[in-house]
Amino acid sequence: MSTETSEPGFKVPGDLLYTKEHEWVRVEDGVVCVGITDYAQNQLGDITYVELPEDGESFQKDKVFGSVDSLKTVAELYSPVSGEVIEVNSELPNNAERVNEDPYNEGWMIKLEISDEKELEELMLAADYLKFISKLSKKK
Amino acid sequence: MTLKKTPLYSEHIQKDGKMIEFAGFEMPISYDKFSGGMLKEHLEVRQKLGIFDVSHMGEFSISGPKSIDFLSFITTKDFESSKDGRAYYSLLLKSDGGILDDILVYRIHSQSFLMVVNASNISKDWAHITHHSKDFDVLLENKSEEIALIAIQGPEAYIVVEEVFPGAKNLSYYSFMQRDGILIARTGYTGEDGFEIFLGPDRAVDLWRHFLNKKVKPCGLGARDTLRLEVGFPLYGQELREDLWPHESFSSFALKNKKAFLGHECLKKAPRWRPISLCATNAKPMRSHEKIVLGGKYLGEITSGSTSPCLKRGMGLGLIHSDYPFEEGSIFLLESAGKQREATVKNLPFIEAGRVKKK
Repeated sequence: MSTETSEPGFKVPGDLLYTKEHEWVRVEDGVVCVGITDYAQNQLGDITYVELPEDGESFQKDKVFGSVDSLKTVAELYSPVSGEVIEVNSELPNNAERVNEDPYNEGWMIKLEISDEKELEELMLAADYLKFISKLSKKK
Repeated sequence: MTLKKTPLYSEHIQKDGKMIEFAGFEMPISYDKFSGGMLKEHLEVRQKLGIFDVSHMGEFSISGPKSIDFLSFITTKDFESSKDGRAYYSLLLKSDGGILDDILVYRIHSQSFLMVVNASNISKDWAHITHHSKDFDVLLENKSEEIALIAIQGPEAYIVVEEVFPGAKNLSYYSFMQRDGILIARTGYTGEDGFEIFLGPDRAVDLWRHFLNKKVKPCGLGARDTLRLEVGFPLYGQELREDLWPHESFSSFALKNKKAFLGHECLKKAPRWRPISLCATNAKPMRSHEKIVLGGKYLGEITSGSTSPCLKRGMGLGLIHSDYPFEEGSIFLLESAGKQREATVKNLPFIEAGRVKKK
């Protein structure tokens, strides 16, 4: 796995797709695994709780599927594509700090059976996401 | 408006402190890279020690022959029985009894006191005390710009403080000593043992760096807030406000004055609110303004909330209509954004700390 690293030092793995809401997507045989990016977990600070949907729930692209609470703030999670939840990371509610520690692996949130593969084309490649967050960091 | 900076501002920037606006000051909320963030800072103070820049706090000097009479009128404590070298927590009330601020008063001697006030209240407190001082032979000086304040807190704090200020480890809780123009007090806002050190702005940087060189972690306002919340200390602007009387919030314990102090008449009135402390069933943080409800009825709201890093449970202080009965273990619902969840009454402190034990 090639990992590109942006100027402020956030990890952006090269084999994932990204949204402007800072979710990442890993595509494996019609199933997408979703989580939040290293940049997102850093902005949120210490995460204490993750609220996730139930298996079998369906979400339209860009609809809220859950939320992340940190000591500082709360952020909604947006579904990067339309689909049905086939698995949720049941470890997270009691170990929310995994999202801070390992956002791209142990900190994954849901797996969706994708209903329209074309929606994937609208997501950002790692290089584009990297540019996107570099701009956000500069604005500050 | 330009934000004010404390004398330690460049130290925070140098350590990558995440700066936020607080009470008109640019203050560090956490040191994510250097100290590992709010949670790590919190645990560091509970387990070992940490230092905080709290130079934004205000300091007023009160001196003159009628200092004791003045303080016994303007605060909720009778200073007749106060002792040299001791610190006292108290309140300033408006004439209608509304809480103007919560304060610490350090008695240097019977005609010299230092009052420490919240940064957000410096100008209104100053206007209030100068206005009410006219009938008293006292001299008031606003020293807020001339005094820096470093808090060093945690079970191991006494070791490094003793090295710099010999004798400090023998101070009892809420007492203080002076060395070479520096006031070293065994006080704090974390529930742990620790010290607050008042010194000139020109000397603050050297002392700060000295402690950092001793591997003491700098901690921000974020950890300060979760630390005080875990032991149930109220915060001005949240639990303590001008629209609340002292006997309706987390401040009844500060009513220690039988004299006719300013605002005392409110105590004859029945309280409208009652303080409540709640613990959640999971680690989702409570947030201020979450509603406390039961059976579809609004009963009150959370005034300060977060997640307890030690309990890994949401925790909150709140105010509830005084006519609604509850006891430890009673269950209420919290409502926010149309969702409801359970919360259980838990008596304070949420956790025991070095200086705060369960009753």
